[in-house]
Amino acid sequence: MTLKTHFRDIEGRSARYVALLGGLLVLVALGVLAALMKGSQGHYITGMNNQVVWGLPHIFAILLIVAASGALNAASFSSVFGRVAYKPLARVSGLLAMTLLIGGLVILVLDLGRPDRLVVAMTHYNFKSIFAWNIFLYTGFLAVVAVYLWFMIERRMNRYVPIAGYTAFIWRLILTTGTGSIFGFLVAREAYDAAILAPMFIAMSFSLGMAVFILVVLATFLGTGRPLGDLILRRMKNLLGIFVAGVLYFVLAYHLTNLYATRLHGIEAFVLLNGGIYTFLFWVVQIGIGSVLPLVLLFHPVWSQSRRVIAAAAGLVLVGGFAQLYVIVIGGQAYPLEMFPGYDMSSSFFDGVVASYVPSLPELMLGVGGVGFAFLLFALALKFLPFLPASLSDEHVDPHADQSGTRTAAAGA
Amino acid sequence: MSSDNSAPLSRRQFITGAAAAVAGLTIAPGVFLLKPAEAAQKADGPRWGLLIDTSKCADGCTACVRACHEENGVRSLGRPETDAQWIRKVNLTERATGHQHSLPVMCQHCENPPCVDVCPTHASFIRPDGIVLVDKHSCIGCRYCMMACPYKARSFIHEKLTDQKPHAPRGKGTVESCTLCVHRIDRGERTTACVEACNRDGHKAMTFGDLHDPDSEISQRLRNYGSTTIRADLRLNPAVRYQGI
Amino acid sequence: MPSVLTRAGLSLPALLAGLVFFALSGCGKVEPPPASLLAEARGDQCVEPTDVMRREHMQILMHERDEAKRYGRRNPDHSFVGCVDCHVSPTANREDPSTHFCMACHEFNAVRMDCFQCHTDRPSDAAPASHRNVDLHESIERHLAAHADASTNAVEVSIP
Repeated sequence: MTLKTHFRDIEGRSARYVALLGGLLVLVALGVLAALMKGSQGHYITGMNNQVVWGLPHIFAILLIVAASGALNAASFSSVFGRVAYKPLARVSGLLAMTLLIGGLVILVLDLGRPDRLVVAMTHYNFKSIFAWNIFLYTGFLAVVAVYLWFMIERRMNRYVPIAGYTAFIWRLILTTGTGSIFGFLVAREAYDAAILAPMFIAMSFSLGMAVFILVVLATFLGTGRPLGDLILRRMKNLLGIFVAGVLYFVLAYHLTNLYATRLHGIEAFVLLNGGIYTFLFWVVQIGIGSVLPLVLLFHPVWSQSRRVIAAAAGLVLVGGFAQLYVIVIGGQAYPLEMFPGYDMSSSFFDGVVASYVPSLPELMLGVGGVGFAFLLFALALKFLPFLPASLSDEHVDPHADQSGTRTAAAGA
Repeated sequence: MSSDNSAPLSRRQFITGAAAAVAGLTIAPGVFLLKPAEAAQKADGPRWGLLIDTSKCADGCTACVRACHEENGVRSLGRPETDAQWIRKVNLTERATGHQHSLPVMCQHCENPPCVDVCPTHASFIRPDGIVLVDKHSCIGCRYCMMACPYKARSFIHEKLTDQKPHAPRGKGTVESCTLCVHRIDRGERTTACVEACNRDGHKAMTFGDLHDPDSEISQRLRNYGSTTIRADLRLNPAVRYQGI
Repeated sequence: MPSVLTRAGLSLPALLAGLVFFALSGCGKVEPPPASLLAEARGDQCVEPTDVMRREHMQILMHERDEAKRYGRRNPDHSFVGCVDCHVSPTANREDPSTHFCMACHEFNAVRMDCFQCHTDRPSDAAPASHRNVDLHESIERHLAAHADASTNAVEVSIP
């Protein structure tokens, strides 16, 4: 038996909390400003163009959406896989999943050429478009997780939590499949058109979502001065390591498959050898400091005991995930379409050349605005509803745990 | 260390559970995408198309491009990377032999257009006569069609426009492409600005006509001399066909 | 006290009903555009009676828009270009609504429309010749006289 978990909303009067809200509001204001600039001027003020039609905002949005699905990990472990240790974190996990998704969607909507026509997107559906399906998957995910949270918080509905948990878990897998398929279904481009992109995005959702979740748990517990034992943290960092390795596996399978097909040697050489910024981002950021280094940090017998190291590893996983999405989204568009195999082509419309893309300030502002909005909602929700457990000390997580393993408790805190 | 003993079990359970769910779910979406190829075949009524004989297309000649952009009010705003181009001349050099030639590329008006498949709001659509258009009343500017088009045929309007042509509405935040001069076709004309310009210059590299009418000039030429399409491997069956690639 | 409450209870619905009536009577009221613009209409008469156009021009345009766009079935009488050709001055500018037939009325009635974000706001080359030389005052008088009936029943119009 675990001890009864008490959930308590945060007081939200400390200077630190107010400063946090203020900082997040500044980010949101930057995003709103960027959206207004785009709305009045048009997209030419961004780095996006007719060659690279999706840019930095889409990377932020996909990162948030993928991480949202993964932020539900803790809740799923508790409700679906019966790991009671995660039960106290289930609420905050569901909340984070919802706010991250909302942040990502806001970016996507504000980057539309006609955001004022959102109602058209909500009323005219082409069911052959995975994009249209995703509109349902995203809104449906919000609804399912909201019900899930309600069942968890409302005592009378507690017995339905497993059903809601299973539904949410399956829904998040479909959701990330849909997100990966946005690229997987694009037959025209060499970098996409691969079924493996859907499971790869699912693996990414597990690792990126876990990384965000670890950072958020560390920040909220340390920030509110609530006890946080090492037991739960150690479990989460081990899982993060496994998820990072899982993403590496899919990356390996993707590139090996492509390398086998002669027709795809061009795009593979572009990403792996001579793509300039994309090659750098792939090897150095995504593989080096975004995957291998975190794996070393997370599984090193001594270093991995420190909370700072765990936090750093989680941060690096996010940096790596950002680089990975940059290579997939921007790199895949920058590489020219091969319309005439066996021919070199040139034109005034940038055929046959690597398209240039320079991220612009408005795009960055819109991206961080979405991130700020997600965490603003998260921080406000913590204040008004009891999402956060009062304590996650080791005896709350698992009273049968061997205390010897938790001696190093506050080492890095 | 006892706390770690449960971890391998949880991982295994977790990963097998996840893998089973993924396996089931990734198959499902594909099912919706299958469509009998015959469903799109509507032989009654015309299907407008173009035949481009690249051996007659002169290097450096851009008469079709200028005529199209003049006809439809497409102007450069001095920013090549974001300027719209409905049609462009592509220069090709065969890697194996060094042989060079050039040809115009525009929207290929596919029978199975990927842009129509991916458009979330039905703004990309194909008319019964085979012309692929963007309905700017419902285009939300997501640019997914530009990601999906194998021919790089579409342009996004990156800034505010003025002085559009009355028959070619275009506006900021929407996607556009070659309309096969649909305004002329609906007026009953049987030619496009590009074909007209090519003929005027005496190259006669382009033919416009009804692909469904066996007696039309374009059908007879196609039957007698054969043709190919760009990215024929994708089986999109474009209405713009080429000779001499 | 009870009687006050009862009275309040009775008068509240009445008040609400009055408010609703007031609000409804306000919305959908179609005002004629400023007289200065009417001189710009060219041609002898509109494709439909003026009161029909005032009430239903949006339905006519919307309904036939999809037919025209998606199937190529175009009705020259109800074309958007046709409206602009007859009603908008070649020198009009949508940025300055007072010069523009459509924008002026929409501005006056606070009805947002985004037609001119894509469609040109000026008449095409095929537009009928302008009646610029017609006496302005005479033209306004004639217009007001001809449509005096139309403006009286304009209150009944409501846009769903």
